[in-house]
Amino acid sequence: MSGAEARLQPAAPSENPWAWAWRQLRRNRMAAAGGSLLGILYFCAVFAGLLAPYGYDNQDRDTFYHPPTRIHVRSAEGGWQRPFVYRSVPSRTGRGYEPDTSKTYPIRLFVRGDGYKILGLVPSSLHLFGVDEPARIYPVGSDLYGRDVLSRILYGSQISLSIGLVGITVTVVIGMLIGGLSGYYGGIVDNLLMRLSELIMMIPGLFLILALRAAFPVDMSSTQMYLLLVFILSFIGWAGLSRVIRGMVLSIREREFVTAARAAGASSLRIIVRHILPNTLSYVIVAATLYVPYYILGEVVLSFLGVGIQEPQASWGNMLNAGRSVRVLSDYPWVLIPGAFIFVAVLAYNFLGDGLRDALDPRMRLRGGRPLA
Amino acid sequence: MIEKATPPAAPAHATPLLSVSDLAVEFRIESGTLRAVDGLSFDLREGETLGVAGESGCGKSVTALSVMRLVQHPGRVAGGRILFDGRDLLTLSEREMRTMRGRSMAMVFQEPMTALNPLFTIGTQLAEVLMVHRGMGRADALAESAEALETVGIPEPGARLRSYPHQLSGGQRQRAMIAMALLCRPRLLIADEPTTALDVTVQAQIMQLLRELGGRLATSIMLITHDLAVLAEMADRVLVMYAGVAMELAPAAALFEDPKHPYTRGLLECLPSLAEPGRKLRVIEGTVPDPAAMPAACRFHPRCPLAEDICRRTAPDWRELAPGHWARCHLAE
Repeated sequence: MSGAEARLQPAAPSENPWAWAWRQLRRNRMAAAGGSLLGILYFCAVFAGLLAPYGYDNQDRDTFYHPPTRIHVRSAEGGWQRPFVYRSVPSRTGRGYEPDTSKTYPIRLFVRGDGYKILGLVPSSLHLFGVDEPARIYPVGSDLYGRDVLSRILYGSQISLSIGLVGITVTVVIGMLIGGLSGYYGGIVDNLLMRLSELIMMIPGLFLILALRAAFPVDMSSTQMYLLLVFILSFIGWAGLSRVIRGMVLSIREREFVTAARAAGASSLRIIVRHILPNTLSYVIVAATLYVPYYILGEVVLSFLGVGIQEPQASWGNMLNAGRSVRVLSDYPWVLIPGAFIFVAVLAYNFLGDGLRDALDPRMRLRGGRPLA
Repeated sequence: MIEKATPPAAPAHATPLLSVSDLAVEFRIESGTLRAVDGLSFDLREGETLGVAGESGCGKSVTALSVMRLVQHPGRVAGGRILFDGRDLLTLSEREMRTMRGRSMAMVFQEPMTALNPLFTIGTQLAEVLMVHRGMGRADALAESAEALETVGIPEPGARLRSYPHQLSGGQRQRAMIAMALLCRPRLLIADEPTTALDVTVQAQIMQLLRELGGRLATSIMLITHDLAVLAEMADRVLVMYAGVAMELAPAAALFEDPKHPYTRGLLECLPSLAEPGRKLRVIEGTVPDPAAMPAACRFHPRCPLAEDICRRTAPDWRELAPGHWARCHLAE
């Protein structure tokens, strides 16, 4: 090789296009904030059992709709003391609760309590904090059955947050496969698949959700219910995604490297999966991130309507169900706190999705330096 | 380096590696059917380099894709035979054809940037070919890919395996493409304008590499280009195409010294010559005909400076004017 060609060789060290996108992403503050927030939320979901003082179905009928427990740091005599709570007893006026100040219950760290399994595998009964019976601690209040709202939010996040991820994964797989086949083969295959997707997009979403739910038995175990929700949400979601993928595949399959792969003897399936679909990934990642909120909200809607996750299982949607009546809302506003978590999760996904789009969008790349393709 | 093996003195009766006869390729579009290639016949002998020349749209690339059976909808091969090593490729199933592509016949494309998948490393893409065709494990395939890169003159092949296409220069990418095409030691290599997108200095290196490797591996090469000067250096024989038909086919030396067809002569006059500095370059008047409105009789007559009445009335035959020197012209002798 002679000088002319050697000089053209880029001096930059090898960099993977994904590594480049990753660096762009980390530079984006909003995306980094969204990503970190999601990291925290998912961490809490995984370790819900440890962080929650009680199990999701641990109830105390004597303290229903208990407001957030006051945590004291000064004793009755006025001296500083480690944080403690008083036991709540029904108020003599007949409304609300009042503290029984005869005995203090210090907040203890790493106490034994309700059993749970980390990730459904590791059994444990350790809790980050708790108070001795018969006192109870409700950091953000309790619900109609005297269950700790915070504990239920944490357990509920396991369902509400994972359903988004599992749902989008199923959707992406189906959407890419159908979009890929449709765009690559064209003709009658394309026609059939795309008409089918239009059919699904034509039916109003909520109606379709309810119709699908009605098609399955009323009594289902919570696992079955979870899988059914994933199925329903993905069934509706793939149509839009596959149409966009199809459009991208139509243009990518005309690129020369596809012909080159065919000339090298690759089969159609291999070309679709190995050569064409990976080139849609930057779009898919962005779209998937921005779609996750719809799945979270989908679960919320279904559970709120009572056709999703059933009591006593907790999910953010069925917890909001407690706030249906205005009376409850005005008297016990803390039952709406799960809504704040939904809001934060949805917002965080949107920030992250926008950041990903900026990091992966080819036009941004041209401005930023090196084109992706 | 091994000198180019003298092409096995091809006696007239020896079966050629590739034998195309009466090939017709059609494109069906809304307004009707277009013939991109019409009644094309040629042979390619073992170890030979056949140059295919012509202007854009003359059917060179479509011919190449037909041989690989890669013509895409709405195009299709409408007739003829393509014998490769005695088997008619047009009768093979897609599955059989797939095992031939990449293994018995391979192709190098014009744009080395777009012919490599931008998302995967060079190593991944080379190894994939070996894994598909030779059932090799990933580690073995990568080791052999590194050797292949070394063979085509890429320095630090181990490091280059981990590079992405955008990190290589155009010339290196084309070298990598050639390495990829030759991985399975194909008997036929089709190079479709392999240097059009490259700098002139790099062009010469790539051509040199093709000639060297073609000779060393005794690969038959079908070299498609619009650059006749390249063919003068590279080709054993040259096929000149115009508007989907063969106009002239001759050993390279004969073609350049004694072109029989006015179109070939026109093409040669378009080349700058060091022998006549200051000569104004000539052009061929007119433009390539619209495939939807192909001139009747001789397709070249509207642009031919020598056209006579007969050229407008009857289509000329494909005639052998001297041993191995064929042309399609009423006036050629």
